[in-house]
Amino acid sequence: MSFLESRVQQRFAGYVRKYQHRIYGFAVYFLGDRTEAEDVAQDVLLRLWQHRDDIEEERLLGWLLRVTRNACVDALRRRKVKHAVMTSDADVYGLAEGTEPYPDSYAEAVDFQEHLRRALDRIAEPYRSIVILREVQELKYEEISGVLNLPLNTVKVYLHRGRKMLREQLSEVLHRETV
Amino acid sequence: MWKRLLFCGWMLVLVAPAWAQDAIERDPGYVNLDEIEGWFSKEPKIVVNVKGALLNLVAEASRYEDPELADLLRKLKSIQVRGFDLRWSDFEDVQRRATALSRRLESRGWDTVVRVRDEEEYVDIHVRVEGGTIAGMVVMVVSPDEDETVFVNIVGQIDPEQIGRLGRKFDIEPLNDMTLKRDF
Amino acid sequence: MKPSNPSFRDWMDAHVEAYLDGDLAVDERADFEHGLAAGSDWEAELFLAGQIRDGLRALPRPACPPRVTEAVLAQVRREVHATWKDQFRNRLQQQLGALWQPALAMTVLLLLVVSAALIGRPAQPQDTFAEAQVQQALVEVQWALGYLSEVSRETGKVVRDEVIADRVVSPVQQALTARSHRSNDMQP
Repeated sequence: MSFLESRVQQRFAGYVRKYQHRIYGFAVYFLGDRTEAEDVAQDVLLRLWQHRDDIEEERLLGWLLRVTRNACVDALRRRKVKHAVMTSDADVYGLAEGTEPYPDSYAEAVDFQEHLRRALDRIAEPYRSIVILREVQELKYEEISGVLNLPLNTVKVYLHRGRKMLREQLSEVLHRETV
Repeated sequence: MWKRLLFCGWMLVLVAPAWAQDAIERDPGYVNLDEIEGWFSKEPKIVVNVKGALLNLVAEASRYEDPELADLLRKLKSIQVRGFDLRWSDFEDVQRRATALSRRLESRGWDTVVRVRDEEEYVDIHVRVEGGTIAGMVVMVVSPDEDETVFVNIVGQIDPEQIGRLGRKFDIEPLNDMTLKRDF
Repeated sequence: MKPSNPSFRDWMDAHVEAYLDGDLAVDERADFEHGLAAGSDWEAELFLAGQIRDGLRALPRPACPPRVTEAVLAQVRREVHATWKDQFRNRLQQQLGALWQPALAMTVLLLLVVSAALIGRPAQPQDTFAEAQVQQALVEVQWALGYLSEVSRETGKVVRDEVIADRVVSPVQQALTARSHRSNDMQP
């Protein structure tokens, strides 16, 4: 192995260490399934290796999240083939609502965060992505706009709509529990 | 010296059959679609390679049932198709490579007659005109929304109106469910 | 607009999150606060919206399992190693090529003897195809033509008008095309 090749690999390994959790974390919350999220993360990181010469470092995070999101969309479409699904009106890509239970969730502990996770699994695209990117991954509006190729104002409107959908779901769930 | 001359002469004799077989590849209307297979991680779902003697036999086979099809096929030299499943995650990459291929074709004298670009679909149709007739056609369709990427190259004396008219007779819907790959 | 008006209720419902994030314009903010003052329902909704936002921000950040990154780096190492091997092999072949020329010349001389027996024998073209192969090829050709026709229809372009008309206009071809259309129209 030449000295130059090992430098390239070392730099790639550095990027993997830097971004692995963010990629995986997005996929976990998007898909609600850790096994699928692992597959997506592996797929995305290998794509990064294949495209290592094509992406400038300052655009890397946006590229990674965009590729991760697209890979998650593909994973949901494959899941749609296997399960009977319902689609929502705002479902741009005809995606299934999440049907998989959160695998390592605290099944017996019905707490607010658990309700929140389940509700997140049920809102449609692109609201799900935007809520995850903004509230969980703490991206700026401009960064989300770049990842999803949406105008800035649209990102804000969709973020509010996504959280409103969560509120509607949680309001119903919490009301049932109270009753 | 005489050894080298004899060597060159006999090598020419030995490669002559191979030379003839590569004639279609030197046709200006021909585009080798094999390189496209390298863009995708999976094998193509649809592979069509009908040329030369096989194309002549197909024309003969349709002579009685569909004389117009036979007439069209006799004027053609090669039909190639490659079809792949396409995931959204591959869309940008494939679109970029297809754009690069389009530019290479244009630099080699192909005309772009159709170009569709939107968020969910990419279509290019190129033709190669030689001596006032269309000698080659390339169609590239990249459409992840339809799970479809198809590349077509036709070589020969092409009449697009005739293709369009004849093609309407063939219902491709059921064929879409097939994987077109000849095993023999 | 009265707070009890259904349109106003919808408006309030649609702006809870924007109010919470401070994204409303001054007049919209005033309207929202007017609605808040009118009923406790909206305070409850606002409280829930705040819980949701805080809850999302407090969600744990799952750590990527080491097996994922190990698998990726192992795959990269395999690819790099394979590339290095291929490059080494190519360089070796180039360097040894010159040394193999005398051996190749000997091989060619042997081939001369063999090919002397083959000269005059016509080349065997690839034209012996089984009937099934021809039928399969016919299916493929029909599919290709059907597909092209569909693509052309969908993009709505007639290639010939866009290309040939500018270069060579053939009155004979146009007359034949018109006659062919008429005969097609007459077919049942």
